[in-house]
Amino acid sequence: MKKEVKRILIVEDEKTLALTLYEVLFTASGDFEVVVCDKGEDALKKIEEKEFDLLITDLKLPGTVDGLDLIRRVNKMSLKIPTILMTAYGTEEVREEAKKLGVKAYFEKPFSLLEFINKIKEILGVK
Amino acid sequence: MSIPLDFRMQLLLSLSREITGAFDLSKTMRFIKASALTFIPHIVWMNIFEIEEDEFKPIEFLDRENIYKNEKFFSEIKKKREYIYIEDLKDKKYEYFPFSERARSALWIPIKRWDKIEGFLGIESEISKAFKLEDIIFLRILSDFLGVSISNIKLLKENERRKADFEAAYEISLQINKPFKKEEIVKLFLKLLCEKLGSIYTAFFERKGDILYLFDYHTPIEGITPINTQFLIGEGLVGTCALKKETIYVNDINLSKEYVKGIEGIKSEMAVPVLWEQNLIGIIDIGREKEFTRSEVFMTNLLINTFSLSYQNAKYYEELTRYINEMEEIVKEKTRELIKSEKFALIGQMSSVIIHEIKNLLSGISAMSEFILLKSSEEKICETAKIIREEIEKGLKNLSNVLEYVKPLKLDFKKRKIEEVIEKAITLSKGFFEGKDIEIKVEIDKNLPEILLDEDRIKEVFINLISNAAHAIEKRGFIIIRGYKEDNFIIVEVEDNGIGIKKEDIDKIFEPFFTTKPKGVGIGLAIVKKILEYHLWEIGVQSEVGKGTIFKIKIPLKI
Repeated sequence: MKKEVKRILIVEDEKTLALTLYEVLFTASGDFEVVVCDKGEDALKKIEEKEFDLLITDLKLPGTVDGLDLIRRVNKMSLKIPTILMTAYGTEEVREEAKKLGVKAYFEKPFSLLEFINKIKEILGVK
Repeated sequence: MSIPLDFRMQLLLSLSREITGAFDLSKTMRFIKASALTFIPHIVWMNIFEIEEDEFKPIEFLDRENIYKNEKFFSEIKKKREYIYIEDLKDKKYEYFPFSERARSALWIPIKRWDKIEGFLGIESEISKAFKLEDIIFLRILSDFLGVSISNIKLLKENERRKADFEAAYEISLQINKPFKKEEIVKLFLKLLCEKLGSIYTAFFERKGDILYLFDYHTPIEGITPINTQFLIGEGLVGTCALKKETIYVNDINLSKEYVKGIEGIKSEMAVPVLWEQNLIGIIDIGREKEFTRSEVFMTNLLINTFSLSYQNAKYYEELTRYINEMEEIVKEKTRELIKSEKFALIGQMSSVIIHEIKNLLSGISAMSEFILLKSSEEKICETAKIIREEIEKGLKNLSNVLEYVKPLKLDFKKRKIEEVIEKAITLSKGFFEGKDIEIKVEIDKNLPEILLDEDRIKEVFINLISNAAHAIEKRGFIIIRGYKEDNFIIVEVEDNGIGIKKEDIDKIFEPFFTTKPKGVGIGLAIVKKILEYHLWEIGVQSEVGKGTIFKIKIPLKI
């Protein structure tokens, strides 16, 4: 049986982290297809173009659409995409808002890569 | 000529009505004189002498001047409580009696009322005729009527005078309640009292400890100044009054050497204590030429009681005003601090943004180093990646601490037992004791009341203090945490027998970014101080190098 390829969209403007996440996900499993962009607006375009199985976004993003806005917009789409929020500005309010929006996981920067990968595998049902 | 008895009786009856209904002594006297002369036509002289304050005063008929000055005569008749009848004035025994050459006999009858002698009735008969027994009885009855009349009139006068005194006292009390200032009240009262008593001067001495200081004085006469401006308690009339807390008055200063007062014209002096709840506030001193009567002393005391009330009110008002001013100063000071803290908050916001940016950046590097660690099999690279990771973690922890210090605190106050909070802090601090032999002792009074505090923050304070104590102990030592009540405070001490703090460093330890540790940003005690300041608690420190350190937290139970 041919394995299903899971498509992941990463929205992160911090280059080092974006690159690391790309590398770690790409190498963690051959079944992940990873797309990276650094703006909320770009992410929305990419989602319209192609389907994704998971959206990982930073809270603070350049431009007018931040991580929470992006999740809100994605939630309104017909196709439901699970979301993960990362942030260095971890406050109680952000955590609450993420919970309300049904975010699957919330990572406060800096976080452990291992925990991060495991969480993604868990969400996507990949072993 | 003899008047029938029943006629006399009828006349006496109507006379008694007239007399008891009359409130004017001279009118009464006219009735008496008319009645006496009707029945005893051979009366040649008749007069009433009223005793007032031990002196005889003729009520009418100001003839025979000499009689009023004959002291021997008056002392003689004063001794006698019954009437004196001298049938023949030529008798040598009564030589000193002042009588008229035309008189044959004299009759002196005491005018009594409730056994008190109010005066005398003096009567003389013409040379040819002595008084008969029935004349004497009749005149004695008249004198009894007079007794009733005089005492009635006296009572009435006394009542009127008291009423006037009370009215005056009321008026004065109303007036001295108007000013707010102590100085104004004293000035006004001394003036009113001086006017009321017609005195030469009135003065108020304020008590401060054992000394009475002249506060103010009043005199209607130009050029008079008090000689003494200070008295020790017990010294002079003023001091004696203060010592006894009783009114003292002397009616002839010349006779009383003890109380000599140099101001000319003053013959009588009165000192009245101004008391408030049995405490001596001061003395009112009054000097005048005229003697003080008992009722004047009474009224003065009454007025001074009112004065003490107004004075004390003003004092309280003054204290309250001072208190309000102090409070205003504090509010101003706190506002300045607040402005400062707002500026600080701005710095805090800026720092917060910078710190988050750094955190964001570091998180990438941290993830990258972890990625290298996961993927590389080369030992040296892995070692380097590990060091990078560890350093980033340390840096991030320090950044979080700084962030904690710069951002304003939001406290969640709940009533808690300080002992329980400390116990939790100790449990969380166990990690600091690793590799060292540290004994921790807790000596906290079980009966300390619950206090309002933010549990997490106070826990943080004690974790910080315990961690510092543990750091100060090199290998072996102890930490003692004490808690006890002292006056209106709870005192909590954290003591260690570690290396101690250098004298020159003591003043700086609560400043942010001051540290003696090789690793650390020096923010721990600054955070402790900040948290305690938000609680309005105080912290102090005592330390000796080589002996140890005590941190002392003062928690007010009342603010």
